[in-house]
Amino acid sequence: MSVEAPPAARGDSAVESGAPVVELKDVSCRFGKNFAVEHASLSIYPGEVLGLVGDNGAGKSTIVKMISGYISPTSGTIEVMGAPVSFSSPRQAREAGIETVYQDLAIVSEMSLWRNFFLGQELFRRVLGIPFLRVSEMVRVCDAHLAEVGLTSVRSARQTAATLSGGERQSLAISRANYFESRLLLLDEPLAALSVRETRRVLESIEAVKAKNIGVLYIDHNMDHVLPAADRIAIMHRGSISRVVHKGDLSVDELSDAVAASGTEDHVG
Amino acid sequence: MPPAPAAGAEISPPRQSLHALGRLGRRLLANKEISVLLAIVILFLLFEFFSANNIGFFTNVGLMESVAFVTSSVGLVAVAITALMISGEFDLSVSGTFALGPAVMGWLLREWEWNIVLCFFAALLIVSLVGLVNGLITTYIGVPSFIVTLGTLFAVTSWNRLILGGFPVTLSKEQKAGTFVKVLGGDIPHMPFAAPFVWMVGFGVLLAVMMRRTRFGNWSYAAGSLGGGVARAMGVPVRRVKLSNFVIAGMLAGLAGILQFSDFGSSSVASGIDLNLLAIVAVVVGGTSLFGAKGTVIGSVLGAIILGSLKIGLVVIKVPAEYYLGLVGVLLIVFAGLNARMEVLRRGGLKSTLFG
Repeated sequence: MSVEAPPAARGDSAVESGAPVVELKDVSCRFGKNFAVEHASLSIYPGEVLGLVGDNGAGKSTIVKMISGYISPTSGTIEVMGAPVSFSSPRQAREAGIETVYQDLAIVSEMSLWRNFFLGQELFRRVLGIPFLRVSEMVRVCDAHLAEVGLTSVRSARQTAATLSGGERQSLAISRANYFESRLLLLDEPLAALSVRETRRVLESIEAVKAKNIGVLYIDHNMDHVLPAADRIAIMHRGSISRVVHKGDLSVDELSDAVAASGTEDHVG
Repeated sequence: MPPAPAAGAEISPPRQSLHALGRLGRRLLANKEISVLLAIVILFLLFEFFSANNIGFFTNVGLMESVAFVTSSVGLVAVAITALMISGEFDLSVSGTFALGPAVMGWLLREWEWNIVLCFFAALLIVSLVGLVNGLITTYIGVPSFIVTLGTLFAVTSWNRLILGGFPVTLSKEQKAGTFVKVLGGDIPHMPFAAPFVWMVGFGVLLAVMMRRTRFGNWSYAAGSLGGGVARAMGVPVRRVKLSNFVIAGMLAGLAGILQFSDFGSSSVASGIDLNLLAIVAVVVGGTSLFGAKGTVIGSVLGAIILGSLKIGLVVIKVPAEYYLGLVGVLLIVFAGLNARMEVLRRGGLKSTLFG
C-alpha cells in the first residue's frame, strides 16, 4: 500500500503526528432524501483515540458503517493512509486494516475463543487446494495472546466464548487489532452495560491498542464513557460534525455542556 | 476410633474415585456425539434382548441390512442439511430433490437413452440447481429459507409428477448389473450393509472434516450465529457460505435418492416422502441447533442410525408399526430437551464435539 506525503497540517492539530490513518473528506451519506451524514470531515491519526459523540440519530453509526465497508458514501472520499478507498464489503475494509468492534456483534458465543480470534483471518494451509485450518498453531497463538491481554478467568483458547463476560468479550475483540496489526480500530459503544471493573479492563485494552500506534475511533452517545479514553473529541449533531476539541482544551463540564448544547434542539432519541 | 472428618476436609479415596467417575460421566454426556452413541447402544441392547422369538437384533445380519437400508437414505439427507442448518438456514425441499434425482436420471435413461454415467451427472446437476435456486432466493431476496424451501418443495414435487407421469422409473436387470450402478447401490459381500450406507458414512466423515477442519466450515458456524452479523463484520462472505451450503444440501439429497434408486431398482413420486422432516429429527437428535452455529455432522449420522434402528427394532420387539412415528416424535422432544439441559454442562467450557 502506498503511503503518500502527509496532508497539510491542520491548524487545530497538536498531539497528532504524521499522516492520518483514516481521513474522511467532505463525506455525505443520503438515504432517499434524508441526509444521515452531511459534509463530514474527520482525521484519525496513529496512536490517538478520537471520540465521536452525539445523540441517537446524529449519524454516528452511519459514519461507522461507511468506514467499515457496509455502506458507501453518497459523496466525498474516505482515505486510508492517504489513498482514497471505496469498500464494497466489510471484508475489504478489514483487508485495508480497519478492525471494527460492535457492541453486540463482537464475538460468536457458540464458537471457541481461538475460532473467534481468527474468524475471517484464519491461518490455513492448502491441501489439494482446500484451505485446512492450522488448528494447533491458532490455539497456541490465541493462548499466548489471552495471557498477554490478562484474561485471567480464561483457562484455554479451546473453551467456548459463551463462558466470557461482556467486558472480556470486548477486550478479546479489541485485542485482535493488536495481533493483526490493524491501522484503525473502530469501537461502537464498547462500554454499554459494563460494570466499573469491566469498564477498566476495556479501557486498558484500548490503551494497549493505542500503544501500538493504531488509530482508534471511539463512538458513544455517552460523554462519560468517551472522556477517560479519548485524546480528541468530535461532537456530531444532525449529520454534521459540529466541533472537534482536544481533551485538555476544555474542562469536563465545558465538554458536557458542548454536547448538551448541540443536542438541545432535537431530543427525539 | 479416628475422629470423623470435618466438613470440607479431605474426601476418602473411594469417594474421590467416585467423584472422578462422576466428572468423567459428565464429560462424556456433555459430548454430543457420545451421548447419542450411548443411546444407540441402549437401543441395540433393548431390541436384542426383547426380540420376539429370540431372533436377536444386532446379531441378526438380515435385520442389520434393513437398519442400514433405512439409515442410508435418512442419514445422507441428514448429512446434507446439517452444514446448512449450522450456517443458520433450513431446507424443507430435500424430500422433493430426493425424488427428483432418480426421476431425472431414470427419465434421461428411458427417453433419451443417454449413457448411464451421463444421466447420473445430469441428474446431480439438476438437483444442485434446485439448491442454488433455494440459496439465491434466500440470500439475495431475503425470503426466510423455511418459506423458500417450502415453496420449492411443492414446485419440485409437482415437477416429479410431471416427469414420472404416474409411472415409476426403473433400472433394467442389465443396468442394475453394471459396474456403475453397483458402485452406487450394490451389495457389499460379507457386510450387513449395501453401498449407499458406505456413501452415507463417507460423506458424513467428509463433511465432518469440512465443518471442523477447514476455513469454509469455520465460516459456516459463524454464519449461523446472530444472523451472520458477527461473521459479516469479521469479513466472512456470509452469502457465499450459505449459498454453497444450499447447493451441497440439494446435491446430496438428490444423490441419496439416486443411491436408493440404484439399490432398489425403481423410484416413484412417493419416494422420499417425509424424509425432510425425518432428516431434521436425525439432525436435532444428533445435537444440531435449529438456530444455527451449533452441531456436528457425525451427530446427524448417529441420529439417523437411531431412527433406522427404531424403525426396524420396533417390529422386532413386536410393537405395531403404527407406533413408529409417534416414538420418533417422543425421541425428538426428549433429545431436544436433553440438549437444552446439557448446554449447562457445556457452558463449563467442556469440549463438546469429537473434532474439537
